[in-house]
Amino acid sequence: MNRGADHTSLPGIVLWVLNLFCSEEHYEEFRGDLEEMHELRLKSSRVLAASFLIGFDALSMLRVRFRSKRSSPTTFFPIGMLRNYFNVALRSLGRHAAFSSLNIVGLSVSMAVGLILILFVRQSAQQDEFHEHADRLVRVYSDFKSSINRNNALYGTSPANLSDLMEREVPGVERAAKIRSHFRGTLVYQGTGLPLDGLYADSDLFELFSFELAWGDPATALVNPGSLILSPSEATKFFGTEDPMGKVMSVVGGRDFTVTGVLASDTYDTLFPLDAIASYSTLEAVPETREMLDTWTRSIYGSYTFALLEEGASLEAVQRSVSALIPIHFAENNHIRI
Amino acid sequence: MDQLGTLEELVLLSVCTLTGDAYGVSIHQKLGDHTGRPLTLGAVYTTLYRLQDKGYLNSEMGGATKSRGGRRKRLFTATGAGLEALRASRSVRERFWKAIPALDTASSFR
Repeated sequence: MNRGADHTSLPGIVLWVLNLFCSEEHYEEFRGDLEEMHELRLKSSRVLAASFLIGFDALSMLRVRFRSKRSSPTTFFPIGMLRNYFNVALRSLGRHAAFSSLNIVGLSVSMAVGLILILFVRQSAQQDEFHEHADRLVRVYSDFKSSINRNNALYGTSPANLSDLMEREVPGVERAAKIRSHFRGTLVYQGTGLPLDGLYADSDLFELFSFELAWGDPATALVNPGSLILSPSEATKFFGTEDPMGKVMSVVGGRDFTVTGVLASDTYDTLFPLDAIASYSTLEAVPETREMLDTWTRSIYGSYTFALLEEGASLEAVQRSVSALIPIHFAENNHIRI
Repeated sequence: MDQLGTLEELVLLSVCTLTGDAYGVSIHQKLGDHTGRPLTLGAVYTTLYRLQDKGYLNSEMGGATKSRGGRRKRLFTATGAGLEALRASRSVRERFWKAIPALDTASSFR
C-alpha cells in the first residue's frame, strides 16, 4: 500500500494522525474520503475553518478501531460493570475533594518514602558483596570508653596494629589487613590541584578484597613509602590519556607521591573511598606517626582492621580470641569485639 | 434478528439511495442533506462497519480516480438481510402509526 507523500491538500497534522493511528486495512479509503471532504469544504469555507473540521473528522475516524463488537453480547470480561465502578469511585472522590486529595497526597508521599527506604536498604545490603571472599570477610569493631564520650560506644575502627596481632595469634584468621582512612587533601600535578578522598593501605588490600589494578602490580604497588594508586577517573583528570605510571604528584602540605598503579574500575560498589590509595608504609615512615600507630588509644581512631577468616572458622571463637588479646597487649578497660 | 438503531437505519437507507456510489463522503453528505444532523465521518464509518459485521452491508474497494488524491473508495451495498432489516423496521413503525388514530391519515395531521 502506498503511504507516500504524494499530492495532497490535507494539513500535515491530519496526515500525521492518519499515518500514526490508521490501520493498513482502512488507510486507502479514509485518506481518500478525507481528501475529498477537505476539497469540498475548501470550496465553501475558509482554509482555517476547513482545516479545523477535517482535523476533527480525522480524529473521529479513530473510533473505527475501537468500535464495539455488538455481535458477542456476553463478554467474559464485564467491562461495563467495571466502568461503572470506576465512575462511582471518581464521583465519590470528587464529592470529598479536600479529604481525598489529603489522602492521595499522604499515600503518595508515604509510598515514595517507603520506596526510597527500600532502595536504600537494598543498596546498603548489596554493598561490598562483590568481593570473592565476601562471606568470610569481617571487620573488627571496638567498644570502648574514651576521653570524648564517657560511656562505652561502638566504633567501626580498631587499633592500627591489631591486624598483625590477629594474623599471628588468633586461630581461624587467614589474613588480616590494616587500612587507615583520612588520606585527604589536595593532590597536585603540574599546577592542577584536585581534592581527594582516599585511604592508606598495604598490599593486603588486594589479598582480601577483589579490587583489581589496570596498571601496576598489586603485590608491589603499595610497598614503598610514597606510593600511590589512583582511580581511573582521577588518573584521567590529571594525566588525560598519558601513561600515569611513575608520575610524581604532591599533596598540599604533605609529601610527594609516585603513581604506582591505577585501579581497574571506578564503579566498585563499596564503602571505601577509592579516589586514591596511598601505601601504608607512607605513614610508618614518619616516626611520630609510627609511634601514634603503635599506641592503641591513639590509633583506634581512623584505623580499620579487616580479616579474612579461614574456611569453616567460627566467628564466635575468633571474637573470643580477639577479645583475649586485650588484657595481654593492652591492659586498660577496653572491649574489642568483632 | 437485531433491531436496527436509528443511526444504523438512516445509514442503511442512505446506502440504498446511493446505489453504486455509496462510500464515506457521499453517505455523510446524504445524511446531512436529509436529516440536518451534524455527524463526523468517523461516526458514519463506525456505523457502516457495524452494519457490515451484522451482515446488512457488503463492501469492496472501487477503482482509482484522479480526484481525492488518487485514493480508491470503499463502496458499500446493502445485502438481502439489510433490506429485510429495513422492511422489518418499517413495519414496526407502521404498526405503531396505525395504532394512533389521529395520525393515521395525512389529512388529520394539522
